[in-house]
Amino acid sequence: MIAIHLFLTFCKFSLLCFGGGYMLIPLLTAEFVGEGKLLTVERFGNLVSISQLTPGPVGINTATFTGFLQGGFRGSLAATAGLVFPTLILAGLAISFINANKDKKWLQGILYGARLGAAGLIIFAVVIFARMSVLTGELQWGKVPQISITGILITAISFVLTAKFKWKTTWIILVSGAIGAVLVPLIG
Amino acid sequence: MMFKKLWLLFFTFAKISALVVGGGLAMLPVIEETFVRRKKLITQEELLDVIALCQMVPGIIAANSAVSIGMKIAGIAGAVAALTGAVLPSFLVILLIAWFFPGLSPENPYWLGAFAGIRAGVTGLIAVTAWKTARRTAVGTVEVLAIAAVVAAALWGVSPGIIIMVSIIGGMFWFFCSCKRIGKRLSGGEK
Repeated sequence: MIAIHLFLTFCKFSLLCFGGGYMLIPLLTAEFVGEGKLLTVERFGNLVSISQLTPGPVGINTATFTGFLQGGFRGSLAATAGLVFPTLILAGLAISFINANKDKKWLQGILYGARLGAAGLIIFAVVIFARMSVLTGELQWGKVPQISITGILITAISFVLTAKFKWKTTWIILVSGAIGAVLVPLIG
Repeated sequence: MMFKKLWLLFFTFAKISALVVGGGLAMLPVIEETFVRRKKLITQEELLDVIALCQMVPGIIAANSAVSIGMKIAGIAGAVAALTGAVLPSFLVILLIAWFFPGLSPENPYWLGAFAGIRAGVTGLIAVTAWKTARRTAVGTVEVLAIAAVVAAALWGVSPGIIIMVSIIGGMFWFFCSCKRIGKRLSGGEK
Protein backbone atom coordinates (compact mmCIF):
# COMPACT_ATOMS: atom_id res chain seq x y z
CA MET A 1 0.00 0.00 0.00
CA ILE A 2 2.79 2.39 0.92
CA ALA A 3 4.55 1.36 -2.28
CA ILE A 4 1.56 2.27 -4.46
CA HIS A 5 1.15 5.57 -2.65
CA LEU A 6 4.86 6.37 -3.15
CA PHE A 7 4.70 5.43 -6.82
CA LEU A 8 1.77 7.77 -7.43
CA THR A 9 3.27 10.60 -5.36
CA PHE A 10 6.50 10.50 -7.37
CA CYS A 11 4.56 10.25 -10.65
CA LYS A 12 2.92 13.50 -9.62
CA PHE A 13 6.29 15.08 -8.76
CA SER A 14 7.67 14.05 -12.13
CA LEU A 15 4.79 15.74 -13.94
CA LEU A 16 5.26 18.93 -11.91
CA CYS A 17 8.99 19.03 -12.42
CA PHE A 18 10.06 21.21 -15.36
CA GLY A 19 13.70 21.76 -16.20
CA GLY A 20 15.40 19.18 -14.06
CA GLY A 21 15.83 17.45 -10.72
CA TYR A 22 16.46 20.53 -8.61
CA MET A 23 12.79 21.42 -8.97
CA LEU A 24 12.10 18.26 -6.98
CA ILE A 25 13.51 19.63 -3.74
CA PRO A 26 10.74 22.17 -2.98
CA LEU A 27 8.12 19.55 -3.93
CA LEU A 28 9.67 16.98 -1.57
CA THR A 29 9.92 19.56 1.18
CA ALA A 30 6.20 20.27 1.00
CA GLU A 31 5.29 16.57 1.08
CA PHE A 32 7.75 14.98 3.50
CA VAL A 33 9.47 17.61 5.65
CA GLY A 34 8.18 19.26 8.78
CA GLU A 35 6.55 18.49 12.10
CA GLY A 36 4.74 15.17 12.22
CA LYS A 37 6.04 14.20 8.78
CA LEU A 38 8.69 11.76 7.65
CA LEU A 39 11.77 13.97 7.93
CA THR A 40 13.16 16.78 10.02
CA VAL A 41 14.72 19.78 8.28
CA GLU A 42 18.27 18.73 9.22
CA ARG A 43 17.78 15.15 8.11
CA PHE A 44 16.39 16.37 4.79
CA GLY A 45 19.26 18.82 4.27
CA ASN A 46 21.71 16.00 4.88
CA LEU A 47 19.85 13.76 2.45
CA VAL A 48 19.95 16.40 -0.28
CA SER A 49 23.67 17.00 0.14
CA ILE A 50 24.42 13.27 -0.01
CA SER A 51 22.34 13.13 -3.19
CA GLN A 52 24.41 15.93 -4.66
CA LEU A 53 27.68 14.35 -3.53
CA THR A 54 27.07 10.94 -5.03
CA PRO A 55 27.24 10.46 -8.78
CA GLY A 56 24.09 10.23 -10.80
CA PRO A 57 21.02 12.39 -11.32
CA VAL A 58 20.05 14.31 -8.18
CA GLY A 59 16.37 13.52 -8.78
CA ILE A 60 16.92 9.75 -8.82
CA ASN A 61 19.13 9.95 -5.74
CA THR A 62 16.63 11.89 -3.63
CA ALA A 63 13.70 9.73 -4.81
CA THR A 64 15.52 6.51 -3.88
CA PHE A 65 16.49 7.95 -0.50
CA THR A 66 13.04 9.24 0.45
CA GLY A 67 11.40 6.05 -0.80
CA PHE A 68 13.71 3.93 1.33
CA LEU A 69 13.04 5.95 4.47
CA GLN A 70 9.30 5.65 3.91
CA GLY A 71 8.98 2.03 2.83
CA GLY A 72 12.32 0.18 2.74
CA PHE A 73 13.56 -1.49 -0.43
CA ARG A 74 10.11 -1.69 -2.00
CA GLY A 75 9.51 1.95 -1.16
CA SER A 76 12.71 3.06 -2.87
CA LEU A 77 11.87 0.99 -5.94
CA ALA A 78 8.34 2.42 -6.11
CA ALA A 79 9.49 6.04 -5.67
CA THR A 80 12.22 5.78 -8.30
CA ALA A 81 9.97 3.99 -10.78
CA GLY A 82 7.27 6.62 -10.17
CA LEU A 83 9.72 9.44 -10.88
CA VAL A 84 10.69 8.10 -14.31
CA PHE A 85 7.50 6.38 -15.49
CA PRO A 86 5.66 9.50 -16.79
CA THR A 87 8.85 10.55 -18.60
CA LEU A 88 9.02 7.21 -20.41
CA ILE A 89 5.51 7.78 -21.72
CA LEU A 90 5.71 11.51 -22.49
CA ALA A 91 9.22 11.75 -23.95
CA GLY A 92 8.62 8.49 -25.84
CA LEU A 93 5.44 9.89 -27.41
CA ALA A 94 7.13 13.20 -28.24
CA ILE A 95 10.00 11.48 -30.04
CA SER A 96 7.77 9.16 -32.04
CA PHE A 97 5.67 12.18 -32.99
CA ILE A 98 8.78 14.00 -34.23
CA ASN A 99 9.97 10.91 -36.11
CA ALA A 100 6.59 10.47 -37.79
CA ASN A 101 6.48 14.09 -39.00
CA LYS A 102 10.15 14.51 -39.82
CA ASP A 103 9.52 15.66 -43.40
CA LYS A 104 6.75 18.16 -42.65
CA LYS A 105 7.71 21.74 -43.23
CA TRP A 106 6.09 23.09 -40.05
CA LEU A 107 8.10 20.66 -37.93
CA GLN A 108 11.31 21.75 -39.63
CA GLY A 109 10.38 25.31 -38.72
CA ILE A 110 9.81 24.34 -35.08
CA LEU A 111 13.07 22.42 -34.88
CA TYR A 112 15.00 25.25 -36.53
CA GLY A 113 14.06 27.55 -33.65
CA ALA A 114 14.35 24.88 -30.96
CA ARG A 115 17.92 24.03 -32.03
CA LEU A 116 19.04 27.66 -31.80
CA GLY A 117 17.51 27.84 -28.31
CA ALA A 118 19.20 24.59 -27.28
CA ALA A 119 22.58 25.76 -28.60
CA GLY A 120 22.25 28.92 -26.50
CA LEU A 121 21.36 26.88 -23.42
CA ILE A 122 24.50 24.75 -23.82
CA ILE A 123 26.63 27.90 -23.84
CA PHE A 124 24.74 29.06 -20.76
CA ALA A 125 25.48 25.70 -19.10
CA VAL A 126 29.21 26.49 -19.41
CA VAL A 127 28.62 29.66 -17.39
CA ILE A 128 26.65 27.75 -14.73
CA PHE A 129 29.31 25.07 -14.38
CA ALA A 130 32.15 27.62 -14.34
CA ARG A 131 30.36 29.45 -11.54
CA MET A 132 30.27 26.20 -9.52
CA SER A 133 33.87 25.18 -10.17
CA VAL A 134 36.10 28.10 -11.17
CA LEU A 135 34.54 30.63 -8.81
CA THR A 136 33.85 30.02 -5.16
CA GLY A 137 31.18 31.71 -3.06
CA GLU A 138 28.32 33.92 -4.17
CA LEU A 139 28.54 36.35 -7.05
CA GLN A 140 27.81 39.94 -6.08
CA TRP A 141 27.89 43.20 -7.99
CA GLY A 142 30.89 45.39 -7.19
CA LYS A 143 32.80 42.59 -5.50
CA VAL A 144 35.70 40.70 -7.05
CA PRO A 145 34.71 37.02 -7.00
CA GLN A 146 36.90 34.46 -5.26
CA ILE A 147 38.69 32.25 -7.74
CA SER A 148 39.55 28.60 -7.14
CA ILE A 149 43.05 27.85 -8.50
CA THR A 150 42.37 24.10 -8.55
CA GLY A 151 39.09 24.71 -10.38
CA ILE A 152 40.78 26.77 -13.13
CA LEU A 153 43.61 24.26 -13.42
CA ILE A 154 41.35 21.22 -13.80
CA THR A 155 38.97 23.01 -16.18
CA ALA A 156 41.92 24.01 -18.39
CA ILE A 157 43.44 20.50 -18.30
CA SER A 158 40.07 18.96 -19.17
CA PHE A 159 39.51 21.43 -22.04
CA VAL A 160 42.93 20.86 -23.60
CA LEU A 161 42.91 17.06 -23.21
CA THR A 162 39.45 16.89 -24.83
CA ALA A 163 39.82 19.46 -27.60
CA LYS A 164 43.44 18.87 -28.53
CA PHE A 165 44.33 15.31 -27.51
CA LYS A 166 40.87 13.71 -27.98
CA TRP A 167 40.89 11.99 -24.60
CA LYS A 168 37.78 9.98 -23.77
CA THR A 169 35.34 11.69 -21.42
CA THR A 170 35.49 8.77 -18.95
CA TRP A 171 39.22 9.31 -18.40
CA ILE A 172 38.79 13.07 -18.14
CA ILE A 173 36.22 12.60 -15.36
CA LEU A 174 38.34 10.07 -13.45
CA VAL A 175 41.51 12.18 -13.74
CA SER A 176 39.62 15.36 -12.71
CA GLY A 177 38.28 13.59 -9.63
CA ALA A 178 41.74 12.30 -8.68
CA ILE A 179 43.40 15.72 -9.07
CA GLY A 180 40.59 17.30 -7.07
CA ALA A 181 40.89 14.76 -4.23
CA VAL A 182 44.60 15.59 -3.89
CA LEU A 183 44.67 19.34 -4.56
CA VAL A 184 41.43 20.69 -3.06
CA PRO A 185 42.27 19.63 0.55
CA LEU A 186 45.80 21.04 0.07
CA ILE A 187 45.30 24.42 -1.64
CA GLY A 188 41.53 24.86 -1.92
CA MET B 1 22.68 -5.87 -34.02
CA MET B 2 19.61 -4.80 -32.08
CA PHE B 3 20.97 -6.37 -28.92
CA LYS B 4 24.27 -4.55 -29.41
CA LYS B 5 22.46 -1.21 -29.69
CA LEU B 6 20.40 -1.90 -26.55
CA TRP B 7 23.52 -2.87 -24.63
CA LEU B 8 25.32 0.27 -25.84
CA LEU B 9 22.39 2.41 -24.65
CA PHE B 10 22.19 0.67 -21.28
CA PHE B 11 25.94 0.70 -20.74
CA THR B 12 26.50 4.32 -21.82
CA PHE B 13 23.74 5.70 -19.62
CA ALA B 14 24.86 3.52 -16.71
CA LYS B 15 28.39 4.89 -17.13
CA ILE B 16 27.08 8.45 -17.19
CA SER B 17 24.99 7.86 -14.10
CA ALA B 18 27.88 6.23 -12.23
CA LEU B 19 30.51 8.83 -13.11
CA VAL B 20 28.98 12.19 -13.83
CA VAL B 21 28.22 14.69 -11.08
CA GLY B 22 25.98 17.67 -11.65
CA GLY B 23 22.90 16.19 -13.28
CA GLY B 24 21.11 17.07 -16.53
CA LEU B 25 23.34 18.99 -18.89
CA ALA B 26 26.54 17.55 -17.41
CA MET B 27 25.67 14.31 -19.21
CA LEU B 28 25.83 16.02 -22.57
CA PRO B 29 29.55 15.63 -23.42
CA VAL B 30 29.47 11.86 -22.83
CA ILE B 31 26.27 11.48 -24.88
CA GLU B 32 27.78 13.53 -27.69
CA GLU B 33 31.03 11.59 -27.64
CA THR B 34 29.37 8.16 -27.69
CA PHE B 35 26.29 8.52 -29.88
CA VAL B 36 27.20 11.40 -32.21
CA ARG B 37 30.95 11.16 -32.75
CA ARG B 38 31.99 7.54 -32.20
CA LYS B 39 28.95 5.45 -33.12
CA LYS B 40 27.25 8.02 -35.37
CA LEU B 41 23.80 6.80 -34.35
CA ILE B 42 22.31 10.30 -34.12
CA THR B 43 23.34 13.65 -35.62
CA GLN B 44 24.41 16.78 -33.77
CA GLU B 45 21.09 18.37 -34.83
CA GLU B 46 19.06 15.49 -33.39
CA LEU B 47 20.95 15.88 -30.11
CA LEU B 48 19.93 19.57 -30.05
CA ASP B 49 16.30 18.49 -30.61
CA VAL B 50 16.58 16.22 -27.58
CA ILE B 51 17.98 19.05 -25.43
CA ALA B 52 15.13 21.35 -26.45
CA LEU B 53 12.64 18.56 -25.76
CA CYS B 54 14.07 17.97 -22.28
CA GLN B 55 13.17 21.55 -21.37
CA MET B 56 9.60 21.22 -22.63
CA VAL B 57 8.59 17.79 -21.27
CA PRO B 58 8.16 17.49 -17.49
CA GLY B 59 10.39 15.16 -15.48
CA ILE B 60 14.05 15.06 -14.59
CA ILE B 61 16.48 15.85 -17.42
CA ALA B 62 18.47 12.62 -17.05
CA ALA B 63 15.38 10.48 -17.60
CA ASN B 64 14.12 12.70 -20.42
CA SER B 65 17.36 12.50 -22.37
CA ALA B 66 17.76 8.75 -21.78
CA VAL B 67 14.23 8.06 -23.04
CA SER B 68 14.48 10.39 -26.05
CA ILE B 69 17.88 9.13 -27.21
CA GLY B 70 16.99 5.48 -26.57
CA MET B 71 13.74 5.94 -28.49
CA LYS B 72 15.53 7.63 -31.42
CA ILE B 73 18.13 4.88 -31.71
CA ALA B 74 16.18 1.69 -30.96
CA GLY B 75 12.50 2.45 -30.41
CA ILE B 76 10.65 1.65 -27.19
CA ALA B 77 13.07 -1.13 -26.19
CA GLY B 78 15.90 1.38 -26.58
CA ALA B 79 14.09 3.89 -24.39
CA VAL B 80 13.64 1.29 -21.64
CA ALA B 81 17.27 0.11 -21.91
CA ALA B 82 18.66 3.66 -21.69
CA LEU B 83 16.33 4.61 -18.83
CA THR B 84 17.24 1.49 -16.83
CA GLY B 85 20.92 2.30 -17.36
CA ALA B 86 20.44 5.90 -16.22
CA VAL B 87 18.61 4.85 -13.06
CA LEU B 88 20.33 1.68 -11.89
CA PRO B 89 23.79 2.81 -10.63
CA SER B 90 22.53 5.74 -8.57
CA PHE B 91 19.63 3.64 -7.28
CA LEU B 92 22.07 0.97 -6.04
CA VAL B 93 24.54 3.47 -4.56
CA ILE B 94 21.85 5.34 -2.63
CA LEU B 95 20.26 2.07 -1.52
CA LEU B 96 23.62 0.96 -0.13
CA ILE B 97 24.07 4.26 1.72
CA ALA B 98 20.50 4.30 3.06
CA TRP B 99 20.76 0.69 4.22
CA PHE B 100 24.18 0.61 5.80
CA PHE B 101 25.19 4.20 6.56
CA PRO B 102 21.94 5.97 7.40
CA GLY B 103 23.73 8.60 9.48
CA LEU B 104 26.40 9.35 6.86
CA SER B 105 27.30 13.01 6.64
CA PRO B 106 29.30 13.96 3.58
CA GLU B 107 32.17 15.92 5.09
CA ASN B 108 35.25 13.93 4.15
CA PRO B 109 37.65 16.51 2.57
CA TYR B 110 39.01 14.09 -0.06
CA TRP B 111 35.52 13.13 -1.12
CA LEU B 112 34.50 16.78 -1.38
CA GLY B 113 37.73 17.48 -3.26
CA ALA B 114 37.11 14.71 -5.78
CA PHE B 115 33.63 16.07 -6.44
CA ALA B 116 34.88 19.62 -6.86
CA GLY B 117 37.45 18.20 -9.28
CA ILE B 118 34.82 16.37 -11.33
CA ARG B 119 32.69 19.53 -11.52
CA ALA B 120 35.69 21.43 -12.88
CA GLY B 121 36.45 18.62 -15.34
CA VAL B 122 32.84 18.71 -16.54
CA THR B 123 33.14 22.49 -17.03
CA GLY B 124 35.97 21.86 -19.51
CA LEU B 125 34.02 19.09 -21.25
CA ILE B 126 30.89 21.21 -21.65
CA ALA B 127 32.98 24.12 -22.93
CA VAL B 128 34.28 21.87 -25.73
CA THR B 129 30.75 20.65 -26.54
CA ALA B 130 29.41 24.23 -26.52
CA TRP B 131 32.18 25.39 -28.85
CA LYS B 132 31.47 22.59 -31.34
CA THR B 133 27.69 23.11 -31.18
CA ALA B 134 28.03 26.85 -31.65
CA ARG B 135 30.27 26.42 -34.70
CA ARG B 136 27.72 24.11 -36.31
CA THR B 137 24.61 26.07 -35.41
CA ALA B 138 25.74 29.68 -35.81
CA VAL B 139 25.93 29.56 -39.60
CA GLY B 140 24.73 33.11 -40.30
CA THR B 141 24.23 36.53 -38.75
CA VAL B 142 20.64 35.84 -37.70
CA GLU B 143 21.62 32.58 -36.03
CA VAL B 144 24.53 34.22 -34.16
CA LEU B 145 22.24 36.99 -32.92
CA ALA B 146 19.54 34.49 -31.88
CA ILE B 147 22.01 32.36 -29.90
CA ALA B 148 23.47 35.48 -28.26
CA ALA B 149 19.95 36.56 -27.29
CA VAL B 150 19.24 33.15 -25.78
CA VAL B 151 22.44 33.22 -23.69
CA ALA B 152 21.62 36.77 -22.52
CA ALA B 153 18.06 35.77 -21.57
CA ALA B 154 19.31 32.73 -19.65
CA LEU B 155 21.88 34.85 -17.77
CA TRP B 156 19.08 37.30 -17.00
CA GLY B 157 17.21 34.46 -15.27
CA VAL B 158 14.54 33.53 -17.80
CA SER B 159 13.61 29.86 -17.34
CA PRO B 160 14.85 27.40 -20.01
CA GLY B 161 11.32 26.19 -20.84
CA ILE B 162 10.20 29.74 -21.71
CA ILE B 163 13.40 30.32 -23.70
CA ILE B 164 12.83 27.25 -25.87
CA MET B 165 9.17 28.19 -26.38
CA VAL B 166 10.08 31.72 -27.54
CA SER B 167 12.89 30.32 -29.74
CA ILE B 168 10.42 27.99 -31.40
CA ILE B 169 7.91 30.77 -32.11
CA GLY B 170 10.57 33.21 -33.32
CA GLY B 171 12.40 30.52 -35.27
CA MET B 172 9.23 29.38 -37.02
CA PHE B 173 8.37 32.92 -38.00
CA TRP B 174 11.83 33.53 -39.43
CA PHE B 175 11.95 30.09 -41.06
CA PHE B 176 8.78 30.69 -43.05
CA CYS B 177 9.71 34.26 -43.95
CA SER B 178 13.02 33.25 -45.47
CA CYS B 179 12.72 29.54 -45.98
CA LYS B 180 14.73 29.30 -49.16
CA ARG B 181 17.66 31.31 -47.90
CA ILE B 182 17.93 29.27 -44.70
CA GLY B 183 17.70 26.06 -46.66
CA LYS B 184 20.54 27.17 -48.89
CA ARG B 185 22.65 28.36 -45.99
CA LEU B 186 22.07 25.21 -43.94
CA SER B 187 23.00 22.96 -46.84
CA GLY B 188 26.08 25.16 -47.36
CA GLY B 189 26.96 24.76 -43.68
CA GLU B 190 26.61 20.99 -43.81
CA LYS B 191 29.73 20.59 -45.92
